[in-house]
Amino acid sequence: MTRADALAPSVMKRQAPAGASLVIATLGAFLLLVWLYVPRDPFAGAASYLPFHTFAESCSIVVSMMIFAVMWNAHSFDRSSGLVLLACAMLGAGVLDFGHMLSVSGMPRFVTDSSPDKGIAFWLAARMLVAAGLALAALRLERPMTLPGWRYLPFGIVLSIAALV
Amino acid sequence: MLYHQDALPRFFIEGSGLTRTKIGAEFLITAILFMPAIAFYRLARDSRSPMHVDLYLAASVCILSELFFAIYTARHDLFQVLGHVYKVVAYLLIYRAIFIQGIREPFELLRQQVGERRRAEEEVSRRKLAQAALEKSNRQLEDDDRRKNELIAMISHELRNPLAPIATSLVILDRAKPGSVPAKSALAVIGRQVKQLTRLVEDLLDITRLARDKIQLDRQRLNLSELVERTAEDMRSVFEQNGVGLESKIHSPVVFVSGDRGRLAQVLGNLLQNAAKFTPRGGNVQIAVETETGAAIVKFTDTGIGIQAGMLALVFEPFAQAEGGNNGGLGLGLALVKGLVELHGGEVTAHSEGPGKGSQFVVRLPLEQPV
Repeated sequence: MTRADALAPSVMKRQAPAGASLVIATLGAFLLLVWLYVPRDPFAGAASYLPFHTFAESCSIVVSMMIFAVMWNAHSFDRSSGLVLLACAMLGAGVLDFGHMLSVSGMPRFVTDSSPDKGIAFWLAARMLVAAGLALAALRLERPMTLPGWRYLPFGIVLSIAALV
Repeated sequence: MLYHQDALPRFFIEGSGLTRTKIGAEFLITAILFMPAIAFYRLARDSRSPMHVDLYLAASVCILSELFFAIYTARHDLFQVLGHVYKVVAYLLIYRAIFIQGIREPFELLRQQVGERRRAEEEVSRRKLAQAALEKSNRQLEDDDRRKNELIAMISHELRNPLAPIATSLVILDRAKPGSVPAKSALAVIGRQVKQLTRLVEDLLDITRLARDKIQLDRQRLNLSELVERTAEDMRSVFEQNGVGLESKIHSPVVFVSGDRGRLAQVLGNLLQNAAKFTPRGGNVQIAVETETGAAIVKFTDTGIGIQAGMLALVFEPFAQAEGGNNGGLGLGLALVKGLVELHGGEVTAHSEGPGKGSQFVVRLPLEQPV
């Protein structure tokens, strides 16, 4: 058995991370380029920005839910408890992104009036959950789930956090 | 956040942009994201697993997305737009990693296992077939070996039988006066036994030649009716000696076929000799020549001991003997008949109602039209 097989037994074709690093470098360079040279306000106001924002967040929410749905139902195949944690975190992020989408200024009243701070608070909570999910996934990627019912614990915690927020 | 907005810290001030709290929070998230990005990179480098590569890419794109959100100044500026795009890309990468791990990989694994199992089953089936063929071949070899031993024993027996009377006759010849009755009788015995030995050896040589396709036919246009009449006349003495009647029924006096006169006479002689041998004293043998569309037919019908149904298919096999033991021969006569008739492009068949009910042998040869 090779080291690669020991780390991640897989029937999929192997892939080097060099290509991924190149993509990241390109995206980073693009960020710098935009920061240095491109005018900052392409939408010139909330009227044209809000549809884009709603569309982008809707995409995020749909993808978050798909991540959760796939991993939750495929958990019996999975050897990694880290990925189950990540899937639960993505569910929470999806719920919080929904709150963020409805709370940015310019959107109609969502329980209370919309404001930049309210939207940003939902945003930061969702981002924190995703970061924590990825960090836990990295820490527990190789660890298998010990009990089938174990996945309900992170599921409950994440939903509680989302409800609390 | 929904109900107590006043308790929230300020993240954005219109006109001056992001507050230190917001920037600090974004950098804190970025710092947290660095940890999985590095961890996934190491895993991807060592495992080269597509799932690890996607997670590494997802964590890194998340970092870039957070950086966009740490540096924007206006609420609707380009950084906000690109930050959202990067975020969606990062989510899609996570989805791909999860999809690979949760669905695609198990599917590929199942497909691989099904393929391996199918290959293993095919291999087992192939081996079983090969083993069955080997066992069949072994049985055939064992059968051949047994038949070979039986054949050697039978040939030895048949060749030895004439030797005892020859040896006795030689002793008589040595002691008797030349020209006396005992000497003449001894010479007659030696003559008969040598003739018998010669016939056995000739039959063996002929069956070997047939098996090796070494028999060359000297074909000529000949009248089969005439050949049958002549052969029957030649054999009449044998029938008289056995007390069996022989009747010829030639429906057409002229029936032309293309064949080797000597070999066809051998065929007719063998069948008549066979009929004489297996018909008890007082019985009758009839030989008939007929024609059918394109074929000349010679029928040998006897009132002899008949043939069991199970033996009908085997009578033309070399060394086949009727049940009841040795009948004084190697069992090559009918095999030679079959081989020679087929060499002439014809066929020979055997019929019998069963033991004690006589038998009939039918020879069919292609008819040659008269010139």
